[in-house]
Amino acid sequence: MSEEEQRAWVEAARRGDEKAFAQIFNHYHMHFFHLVCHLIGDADEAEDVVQQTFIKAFRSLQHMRDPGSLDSWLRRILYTTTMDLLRGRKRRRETSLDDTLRQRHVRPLSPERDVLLQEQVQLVQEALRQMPPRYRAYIILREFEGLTYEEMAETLGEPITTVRVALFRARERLREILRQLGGEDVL
Amino acid sequence: MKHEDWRLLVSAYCDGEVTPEERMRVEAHLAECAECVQALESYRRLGRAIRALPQGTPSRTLWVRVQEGLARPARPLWWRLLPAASVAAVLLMAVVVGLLLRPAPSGPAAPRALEAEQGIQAEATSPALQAPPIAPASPSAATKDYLALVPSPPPCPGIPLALEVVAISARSEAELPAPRLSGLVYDEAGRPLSGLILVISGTTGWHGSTTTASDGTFSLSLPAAGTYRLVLALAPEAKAAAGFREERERLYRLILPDGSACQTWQMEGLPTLAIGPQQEVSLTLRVRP
Repeated sequence: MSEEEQRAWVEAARRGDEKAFAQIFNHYHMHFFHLVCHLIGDADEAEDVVQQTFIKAFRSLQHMRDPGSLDSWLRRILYTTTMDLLRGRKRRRETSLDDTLRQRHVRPLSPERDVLLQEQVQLVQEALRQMPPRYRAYIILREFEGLTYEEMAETLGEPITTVRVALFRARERLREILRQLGGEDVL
Repeated sequence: MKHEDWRLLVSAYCDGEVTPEERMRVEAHLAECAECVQALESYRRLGRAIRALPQGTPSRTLWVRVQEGLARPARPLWWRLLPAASVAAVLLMAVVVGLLLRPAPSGPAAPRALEAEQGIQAEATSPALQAPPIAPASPSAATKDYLALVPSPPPCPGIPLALEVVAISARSEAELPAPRLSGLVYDEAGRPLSGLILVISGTTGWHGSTTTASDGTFSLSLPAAGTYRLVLALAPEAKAAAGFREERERLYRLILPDGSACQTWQMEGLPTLAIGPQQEVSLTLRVRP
């Protein structure tokens, strides 16, 4: 979406235009949900994070400095909310990426996809699960979200040089875990 | 250069995040280091694997929950964003809530509604189940059955939750600051349904929402007189508590005037309400799973 469109939505929402809120929500919520599912591995919690993100965002829209940067502004709120949740989780239960496979939430794999691929998916999910959340975030923001290092730095509030090194370490860690899990095929 | 430093450069190269000078160096290195080539391939495969992970769909009540969250606090930004007139109306709402809470007989209503209200009282198992009391209307007050029940949304296939409008009464009074909708929702067994999200949408889109309290009552102010559509959404907790199953629900996409869609649940038989200026409408609904 263009900067101009983002600006128009934000300005309409600031004027109290309810349609603009709905438009912003409709444009982002699905993708945000997927992103948070990958980051925290729980569909219900991911919904809570997305819900909180939009509530926070809509409430603080007036304080947004550059209306043309709605994308990155929302993503920063989403990321902070996600990390708050992870911090508050206190390991009260295993963070299971399997949860995202629950029927209610997940598009089933098409029949053509073979058992091998199914296994591969499970391996990658398990490996991601075993990663420290922060490392997982580097991988997901880069590979799933497709952010540039600059965008990652902005989202994470870190210098680009840190992003570069941390992403490399995260990749190496993921490979190591996959090797331990016997996932040489994926590598 | 150490092995790890090369690997770091390879990782950045994989993402296209290297300077032209670094690119030349990495490519030269890759030409002679099989291990780094393997690492590069591995990074790329991992990326593809992650992008191919299955993705779910958020629940359809998410937007309603966002709206609920925005409406919850006393004075959220949402309201501050509204025009000053609406803000004033919201502030006055408290006064009306106070009025509504005062126990009193309901104002005169159409014979049909009256009959239905008597029906509720016969079925009700506790006083809490009775329709929320409406502020006393003085005999001289212009009380009339203003409300018109426009045909329900067109029926569509499937087994929905049946929703029955048991009683509707309307009261028009000069001192009411804004039209309101209040009422009671209960299930077939006469138990009040709490946690049900009611959304009011008008011709220009979403207007407001509320959640039924533990005694099944709700109260909602409307920004202006007009024709509104009532949409009911079940919060997950309410679903569990009421023993509803998802397949009993029916999805309606609430199409906003600009063409964007807000996903929400709607039960069959929900009415469209025409609400006049300065009018208060009391609606009693019975949900039959």
